[in-house]
Amino acid sequence: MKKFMVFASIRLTVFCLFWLTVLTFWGTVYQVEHGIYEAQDKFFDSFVLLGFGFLPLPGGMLVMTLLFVNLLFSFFVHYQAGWRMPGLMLIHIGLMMMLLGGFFTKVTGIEATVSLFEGEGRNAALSRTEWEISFADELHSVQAYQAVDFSDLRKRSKVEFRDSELKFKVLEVVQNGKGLRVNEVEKELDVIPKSSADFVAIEKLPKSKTPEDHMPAVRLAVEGATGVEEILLTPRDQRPLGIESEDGTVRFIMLRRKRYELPLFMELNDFSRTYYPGTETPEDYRSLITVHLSEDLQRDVIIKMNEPFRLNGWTFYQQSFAVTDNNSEMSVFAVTRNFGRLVPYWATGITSLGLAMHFLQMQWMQLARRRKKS
Amino acid sequence: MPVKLLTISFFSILLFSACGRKVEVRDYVEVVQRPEQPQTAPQIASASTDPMRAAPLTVEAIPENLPADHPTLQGRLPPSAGGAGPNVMAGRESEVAPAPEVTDLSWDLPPGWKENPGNGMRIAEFYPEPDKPEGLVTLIALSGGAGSLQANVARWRGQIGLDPKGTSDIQHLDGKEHFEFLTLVKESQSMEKPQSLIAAIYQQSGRTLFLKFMGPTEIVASHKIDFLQLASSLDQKETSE
Repeated sequence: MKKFMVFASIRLTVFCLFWLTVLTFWGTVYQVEHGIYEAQDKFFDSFVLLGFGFLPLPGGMLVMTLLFVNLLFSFFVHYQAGWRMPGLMLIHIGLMMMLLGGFFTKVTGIEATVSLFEGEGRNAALSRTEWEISFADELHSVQAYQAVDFSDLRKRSKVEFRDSELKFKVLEVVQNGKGLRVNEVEKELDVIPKSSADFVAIEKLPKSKTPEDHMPAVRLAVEGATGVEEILLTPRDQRPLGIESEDGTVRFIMLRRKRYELPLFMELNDFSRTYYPGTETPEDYRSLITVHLSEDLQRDVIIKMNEPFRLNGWTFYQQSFAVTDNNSEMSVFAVTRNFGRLVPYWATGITSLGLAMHFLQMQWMQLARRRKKS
Repeated sequence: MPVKLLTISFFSILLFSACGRKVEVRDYVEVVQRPEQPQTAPQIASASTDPMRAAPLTVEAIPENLPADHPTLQGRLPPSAGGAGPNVMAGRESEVAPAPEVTDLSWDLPPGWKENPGNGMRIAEFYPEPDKPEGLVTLIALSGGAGSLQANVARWRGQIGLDPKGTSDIQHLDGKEHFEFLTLVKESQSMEKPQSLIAAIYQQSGRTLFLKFMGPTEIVASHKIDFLQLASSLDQKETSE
C-alpha cells in the first residue's frame, strides 16, 4: 500500500499545479503567434508535447489526468480516518468533479452551425472545424448517408461502406491544402485520380491560425470501381463524385463539413433585425423558427441575441445573418451540445462549500484550543 | 512492483488509446427543406454600401485555382468577398450557388406542377401534385458519362424493388433534345403503394442529364403524359461565345 503513496503525494500535487501554470503561461504566449486552436491542441489537449521541437514534456491532458489520480488517492489515503475534515473532502470532490466535467465536455461536446434562409429547414448542424467523407446512393432532400470522420483518416487507412462493393484506401491525407489541375502539376503522374473538379494532385498548405479556414484534401485508392483507380476529394469540388462499381451501381462520395444530426427539424419562418438609431450596432436580431420534434409535435420558438433556445442538452444561439442580393435573409445559428454544462457550477459550489466549512472548522478548533489554554 | 506495474499499464493505455484508431462509419439522415424562392449567394454587408445591412459576415475566400466555369465563380461574390473571421457560410459554399447547368437549360413546366430550385448537381425539382411530395421529379446533371445507361437503369430498378439484372425497354425519343425514355413499374400486390419510375436521359457533350420521376404508381401514371411533355420541352439554350 505504501508504494501507492506516490500517487497521493503532495509533491505530485505541487508539481502538477506548477506545470499547469507553466503550460498556461507558455500556451498564452504561443497562441499570439499560432492561434488559440493550435495552442490548445499542443499544450492542453496533448499527453506529450515536444518543447522547442525536440524535448518531450508532459502535456496538459497528462498533467490533469495525474492531478485527478492524485486527488482521488489523497481523498482515500489522507482523509479516511473518521471524516474529521469534511471541508477538505468536499474540496477534493469539487476539484475532481471539475476535472471530470472538463474531460466529459471535451469528449462529448459539439460546436456547430446551422444557417437557414427564410422558408428553409434542416435537421443537421455543420461543424466549423471538422470534416467528413460522406457516402450515399442517391442525393435526395431526405437522404441517408454513411460517413467517416476526416480526423480518423491516416495514410493506409481502409474505408469500407456497408452494402457497397467499393473499397477505399487512403493514399494521401492533407489537413490544409488545395487541389491542383494537370497544368499546375510539374511531375508526371502514374495515375490520374478522378475528381469532380478535375483536380489531379494536392498541394499542402501551411496551417492557418484559425482551423475554420482549413480546407482538407484526401486522395484515395479505389477497389471495385469501373474505370477508376484513384479519386481525389476536396471541399472545393462543389458536387459529389459519382463512382460506378463493378456490379453496376453508382454511389456518390464527397468531402464536406461534418454533419451532426439534431434532435429536431428546424425551419426558419422569419428573421428580423434592428439597429441602434444612426449606428451600425445591432440592437436586436431574432429568428422565428418552427421546431418539429416529431411528425405531429411542433412549436414556434424565437431565438434572439443573448436568448438561446435549449433542448435536450443542445443550445441554439442567434449568431449572425447574411443578406442576398435579392434581399433574402439567411439566419445563422451557433449550435452547441454540452451535456456537462452545469457540472462546473456544481463543482464550484461544492468546492466553495468545502472551503467555507474548512475555514469555519479551523476557526472553531482554534477557539477551542484557546479556551482550553485559558 | 505493483507501482511499476500500475505505471506501465497506465502509460500503455495512454499510448494505445492515442494511435491506431479504426475508421468507423457513422450513419445519419439529412433532411433539407428548400425555401420557395431561389436564393443567390449572400453579399457581404458593409457600411459603405448599405448601413442597414451591416452584419458580422464574411464569406469564404474563393480559391484562385478554380476554372472559369466553376459554380463558385458563377456570378457569386464580389472580388472583395474573401476574408477572415467567423465563417457564416461554412458548409453552404456549394448550396447557394446555382450549378452551371442551370444557366443553359430551359423547359416548359406542365400546368399545375410546382417547381423548386435545386442545388449543386440537382438543377431543379418538380412536384406534379404539390400536396403529395412523394411524387417527385428531379433534373440532375452529372459531368461526363456518369456511368453507363445500363448501370443507371439497374440502380433505378433496385430502388423500386425490381431485380437490378432484369431487362427494361428503352425508347429513343426526340423532343427539343434527343433522349432515352424508360418506364419501370413495380407491380407487387403486397406493397401498399407500388412504386414506379420513369426517366428521360440526355447525353450531351461533357455531361449527362437525368430527368427522373419516382413515386407511387398512381401519381406517376396519372402524370406520365405531362412528364413526357416536360421531357420533350427540355432545351439547351444557345450561348453566345
